[in-house]
Amino acid sequence: MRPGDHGLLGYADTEERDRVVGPFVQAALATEEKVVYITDDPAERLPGLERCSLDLAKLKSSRQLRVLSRREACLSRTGVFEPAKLADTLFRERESAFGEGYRAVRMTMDSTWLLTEPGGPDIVLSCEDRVDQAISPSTMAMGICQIDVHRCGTHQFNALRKSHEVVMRVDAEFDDGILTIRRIYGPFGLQLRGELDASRHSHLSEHLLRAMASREGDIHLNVAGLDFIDIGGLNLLAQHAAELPRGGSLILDHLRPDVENVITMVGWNRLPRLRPGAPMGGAAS
Amino acid sequence: MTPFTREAVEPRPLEHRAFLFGGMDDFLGTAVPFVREGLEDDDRSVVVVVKGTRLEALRDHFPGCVDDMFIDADAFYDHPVRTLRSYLELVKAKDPRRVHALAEPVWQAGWSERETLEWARYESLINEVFQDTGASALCPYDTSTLPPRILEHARRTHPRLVQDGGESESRRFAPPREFSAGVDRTRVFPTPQDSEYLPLTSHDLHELRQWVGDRADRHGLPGQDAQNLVTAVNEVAANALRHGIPPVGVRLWTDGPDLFCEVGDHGYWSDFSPLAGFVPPKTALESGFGLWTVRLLVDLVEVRAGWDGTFVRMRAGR
Repeated sequence: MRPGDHGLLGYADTEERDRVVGPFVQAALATEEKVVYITDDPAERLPGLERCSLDLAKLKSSRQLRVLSRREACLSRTGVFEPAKLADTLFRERESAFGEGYRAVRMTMDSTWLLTEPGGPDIVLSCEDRVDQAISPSTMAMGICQIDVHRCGTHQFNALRKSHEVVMRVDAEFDDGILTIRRIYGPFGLQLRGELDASRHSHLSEHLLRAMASREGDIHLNVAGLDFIDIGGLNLLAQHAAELPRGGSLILDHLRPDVENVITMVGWNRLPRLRPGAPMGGAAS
Repeated sequence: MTPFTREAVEPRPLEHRAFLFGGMDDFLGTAVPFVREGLEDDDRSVVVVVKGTRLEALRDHFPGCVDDMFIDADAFYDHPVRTLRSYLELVKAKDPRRVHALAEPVWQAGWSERETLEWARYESLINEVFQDTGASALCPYDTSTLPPRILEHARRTHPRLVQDGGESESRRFAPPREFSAGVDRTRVFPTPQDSEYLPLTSHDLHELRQWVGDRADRHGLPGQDAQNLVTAVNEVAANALRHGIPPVGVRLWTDGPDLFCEVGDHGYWSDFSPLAGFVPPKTALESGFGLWTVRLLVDLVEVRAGWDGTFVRMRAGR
């Protein structure tokens, strides 16, 4: 993410949200950057600030950390959302940052509550322009608009996507230019892109074991972007599937037919507890 | 719940017989009673895999039978390793009933000696793969059209022979391991002088896959066959790098419609078995899964494990 960017984060669960918003907040506080977080939650329960060693009271008094309630930032006296007030708040916080001695400002808000209100989607879309104006022209501001995808629905989320230049996602766990491994959350598992061969088995194994340790039940592998899997890779997946808790499966979503061919050739029955999931181009269940 | 009967736990021996016949009357004289015997036994499931005219003649004898009992041999016998896998799936699907098969392998006049031998090896492997399934296979061989060397293979790969209305032990029978080793000894293994060579020095095989993929495309292999060859060569190379002794490299050349890739290293594969990679593993977790999959993916795999190194040659045709 670069200065002037106004990104959208659609998250499937709080872990996914925390893995994007946490580093975003922490990176600012670790350097001379200001954080503006619009939320009704207390600072110590926010992503990146929960169970951290930072002195939150000191950060607040130096105005490096600004945790603003919705009433302060964007609601009218009667509790109605006011797009103009939000734009003013963002603009004011941005302008004051420089005088306070910060070289940049990072702003974020979870907008899911707005979308779930009657007429909410239209209000959100109409205020995106104002938010954009408060962030984009600046060389020292960045913003993340957080949305709980399950609560707002895929349809509304896709409409929002169009009004954001940058879509945020969790950093890849591994990327050597040939294979990319990324944690995914809806459904939970890993996304594999590129080519999997013996020289990369240990990396997949490491991240698969971590994913298996953090959740119970099925693990999904989104392999829509996987161009090649070696035979040893199938053996590796079968080994890990055998270690899943009772009843759990390793599910391969969006397998390309040319990659699935090798599995069809040996037979899915020879890969116990591995099974095909969503078809190519289809939605994962 | 199915009661745990004595039959379920005891291994049931395979009955594998070659049926040497001459002409249609001789064929029907034995084939019809064999099929009828299977149909009358509730414990058995009949499959008839024979060639065109004989298939029609048998169908006429059993008009009341379901159509999927009859399979055209030309469609069934397309690739020895794949056919063996499909046959095993069939036997598993019929379980606990025993397969009662009239199974006539296809022998093409235009085949090379190598191809003929690989199908003879297939017949021999039946003894190994189905040994405890209780299956009964009667394999017709037409003595009026097949050359003597194929009839000799029939005697070497079937423990019992049925001929002229009688049954006898085949004195020429060779156990599968011995037969397979014999097939391996007949290989010729020169590598053309003008073959291309790619040394493998790193475990990262991305460059190898591109190198093989480009040449497979240029040779005109259909897309999926090209990708299957890449997957096969990648697996053999990864194994050579892991278990072999450097230098490790790949040679590639073409001969008519065929493209060959040979992975070589200087290690001695001391426990190489002539059955390696032919017997379908139960799961991907069993050893031998890799070489078996490689054999499924390409037209032919030849392994030479000698004192001067280990060489695995793979062939894929246009």
